[in-house]
Amino acid sequence: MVLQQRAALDPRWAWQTYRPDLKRPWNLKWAGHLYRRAAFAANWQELQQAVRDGPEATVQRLLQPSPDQAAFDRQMDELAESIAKANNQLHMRAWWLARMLRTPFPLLEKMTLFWHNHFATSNTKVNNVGYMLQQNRTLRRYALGSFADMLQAISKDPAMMVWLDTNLSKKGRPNENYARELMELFSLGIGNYTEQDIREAARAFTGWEIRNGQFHFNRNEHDDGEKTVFGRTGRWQGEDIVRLCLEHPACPRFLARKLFRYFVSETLEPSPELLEPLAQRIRETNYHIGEAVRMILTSNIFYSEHAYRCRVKSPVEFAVGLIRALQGQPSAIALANALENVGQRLFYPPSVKGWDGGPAWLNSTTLLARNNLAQALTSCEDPQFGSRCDPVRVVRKYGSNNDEEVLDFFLDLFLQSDVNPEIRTRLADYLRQSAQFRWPAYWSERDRHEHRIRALCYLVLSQPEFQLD
Amino acid sequence: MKLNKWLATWLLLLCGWTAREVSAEPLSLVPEEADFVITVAQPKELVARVWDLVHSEPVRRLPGYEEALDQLTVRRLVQLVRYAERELGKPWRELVDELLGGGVVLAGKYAPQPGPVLLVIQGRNAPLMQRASELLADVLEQELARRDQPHQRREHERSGLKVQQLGETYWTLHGPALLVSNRLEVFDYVAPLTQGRTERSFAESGKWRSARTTVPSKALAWAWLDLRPPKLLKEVQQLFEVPGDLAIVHIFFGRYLDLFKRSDFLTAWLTANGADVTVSVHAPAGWQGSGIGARTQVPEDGKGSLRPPLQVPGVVYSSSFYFDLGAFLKHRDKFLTAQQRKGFEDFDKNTAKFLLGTRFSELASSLGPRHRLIVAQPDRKTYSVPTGITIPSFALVLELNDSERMGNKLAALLRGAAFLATFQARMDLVEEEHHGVKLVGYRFVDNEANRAIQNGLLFNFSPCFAQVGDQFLLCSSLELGRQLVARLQQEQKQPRVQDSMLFVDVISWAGIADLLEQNKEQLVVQYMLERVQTPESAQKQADEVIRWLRHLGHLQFHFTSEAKSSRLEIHMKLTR
Repeated sequence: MVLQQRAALDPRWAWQTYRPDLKRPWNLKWAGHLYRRAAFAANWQELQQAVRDGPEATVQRLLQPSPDQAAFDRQMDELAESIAKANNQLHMRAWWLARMLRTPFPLLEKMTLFWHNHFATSNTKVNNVGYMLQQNRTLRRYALGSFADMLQAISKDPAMMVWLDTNLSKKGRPNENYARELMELFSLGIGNYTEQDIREAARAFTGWEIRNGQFHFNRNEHDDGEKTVFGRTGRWQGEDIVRLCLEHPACPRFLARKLFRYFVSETLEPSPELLEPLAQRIRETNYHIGEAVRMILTSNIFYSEHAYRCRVKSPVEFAVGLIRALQGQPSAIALANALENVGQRLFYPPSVKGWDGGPAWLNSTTLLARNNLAQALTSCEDPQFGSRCDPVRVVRKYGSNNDEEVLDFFLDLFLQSDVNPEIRTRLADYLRQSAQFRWPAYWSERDRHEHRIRALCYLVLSQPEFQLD
Repeated sequence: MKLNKWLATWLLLLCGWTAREVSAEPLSLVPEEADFVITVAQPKELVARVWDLVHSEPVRRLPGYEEALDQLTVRRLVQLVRYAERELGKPWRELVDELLGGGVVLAGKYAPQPGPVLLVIQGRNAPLMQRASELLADVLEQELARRDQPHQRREHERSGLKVQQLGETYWTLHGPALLVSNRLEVFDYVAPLTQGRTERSFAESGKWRSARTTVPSKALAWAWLDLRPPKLLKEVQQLFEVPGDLAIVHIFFGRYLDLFKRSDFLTAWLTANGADVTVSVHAPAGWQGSGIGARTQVPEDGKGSLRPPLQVPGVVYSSSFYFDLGAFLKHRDKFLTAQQRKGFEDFDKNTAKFLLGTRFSELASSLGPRHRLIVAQPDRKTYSVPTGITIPSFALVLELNDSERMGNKLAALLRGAAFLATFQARMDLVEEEHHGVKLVGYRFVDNEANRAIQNGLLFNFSPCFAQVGDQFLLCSSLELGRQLVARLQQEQKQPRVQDSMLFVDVISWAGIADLLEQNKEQLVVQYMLERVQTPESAQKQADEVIRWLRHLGHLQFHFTSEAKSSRLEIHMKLTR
């Protein structure tokens, strides 16, 4: 299957700008797809506006910070400062979820999440909320900017320095952890460097320390001798090694592959030829991530069956997506706790490789936990979440009146009505049958109606299609 | 199925919770085989108090109050009450009075699986109770059907009683009383009682006769637990063995294990007097006859003679307690098995290496049995360094037997420990004189290394110690240390009260409020993350919570041991 797809894909066609036509019209389906990938998910208003505005304007809007962004950032930064003071890891996790839920610039958070998995650093070892939040801020700062600057910044990031032991690397006793991961996981990938490159590069990072919570270069502990990395010799320092990685021809290709997997498909293994135009764009723009993301979000391949529902939502994407779609405002603390059961604990990736993602997100336990979370959020009967994510509210807001309309509304909102007709029939059957239930006598007509709406919403959210991005 | 049973039981309990005066009648419908009985003797008063509390102004101003009332589950409960009012034709307060006026009793037997329980709701109006029970059964049936757990109602004849069944819930009516259980066979025991043969009832049983005098008639609610059945278990009997495997448990909790061993029952009750609410727990065994396992916590003559808990401005928690480690050392042959004794002697020998030649046993034997602990939030003046979070100061005041000799030894030990600690974090020695008492303290040096430790966490502390007469003070901050030295000096002049109190704990909500005030930034963070708020509204809500806590007054725990009984009292004093 993968090979067939490989053979069938023409790189020129793939990266050309998508122009809606009769065969691939711009509609709710593609608007929902775009918002899922670039913004967790869309609410009803955003979906409608995207359909009206067309792909180009919508992508442009998603890539641009809104006027409210600066005020939002200021408030969240102040909050982060307070959380760091108390070293409270639950508040730290909740803080990021709150950002994702409330941000006016969701693509930025989505990309920060991408980089969190790329430069996977866990507070299990760092054990310093201030450092973790500082790293998160660095990732956000460069999330859609220069990867070159980000790689330099992350190399000197205190959380990363603790995580990969750079701060323990001394002249005569270089620690190879950071040099290895810099090449293997952060910039080049296996097969593009040698063990000797790692040993030599590690010497360049000696004398890198943390003082007062910031990077400090200790000349006395630095190995100032000549080093040969990727065949190039010099008195390289850490910054030079990062630069050498960025100048390595494998780096843009490596990055292109990761972005492709994140935005386009987890199931399609892209050929080097298919990736080359994207890598070329990365190279030409001097690693400007925003430009690469724009290229992906406007490409033919992005709006094709090769990309559609070809990713499994991570637990964070699942939860944040459904809450944003319902315009809910649940407790971020309760959500942070609940997400642990679903298998994703922000700031605590399982290893330096991050979360495996893809089908690994789903098993019988996590699937049940996802359904339980969806029910807890939407039933309004869970004491932790209360009525802060009430599907009835959006149904009322967007004026769906009868059962048919409510069903269509939820299918449009969450699945853009792209479901097997059998599913629709089953859901309609539920509505018909539930109208005949013997409800408790003390329930009002309104109670019955609202309960059925919430139950229907939950049934839609528990469809397999909703697990896909 | 279990859910159905409990849902049914609690739904019925919830909807019937009140009465006008204490009635013995519901107890006469409880079989004498009960292992525990919980009674709401004055439901109407209890409901009124809870209602007043929930609707009091400080509670109404709490964050989330409006939202909590608007929760779906709360709305449904209100609807259910409105429905009952409509169907039964009376306002809920009257329903409470007429349906639960005689009291509510929950009784049962201990069992590993949920054991048999019986709920007796004693009303005053039999026809109304009949209608109410029908209504509740209908609602329950509908509720179960809604949850996709439909059940058919069935009727059984059991020892002459007509028993209704829905799922695993069984009930019958006896005049104005509604009896509900999770087991059908329970009605075999209930049936004779409903026929007037009350000699087999709990009310007439010997075990209740011996306990009833301990419960005051003004109790709003009370509970009785039979302690005999669990003591038949081998595992429980092992708990009481001295010497035995649980020596360490006996050293710290021997008082409670000894009471458990010697008491046939426990009673507990709730009383209220104006703004004062008290929960009391009574055991029919006192210091007389207490076993060796209790010796560290119960004096042989029963005289606790504690000093009062220490009070300083900003106190959060203060405790005065009897704990005689010397008694353990004196009787260690009886506390410890031969193997444990050998382990202890080895440990004791080794401690001399770390305690400058003094053995642990020597130190412990020199301690008296009456000690105090205090947590307080004094004004901070020692440091100007900001700390990420504010940790309250705390102090331990130990009573010394051989005060002169041991005071000097302890001081030398602490100076040695402080010297070693300076290798981890630099500290300066501070010595102060307070009316002839030397307060020796240590200040952390304001340098980068110390500031870097957990966002300046160290700057919450300036550890110090002092000796005032036979009292040895160990304190986490100089500010609290100074205040306590002054208190202890005053106290030396006062005579000690001879009484049977064995511990007194006082929690000051105002002190907790002060502590939250110091850490308000974190409370604001909590509200912003939980309630999606602006910093301004989160700040306002944090202020409301702090104000509410100040309104709560004190929570006190007292434990007294008389010759033949012991009592724990938990006293909540609400300020207005």
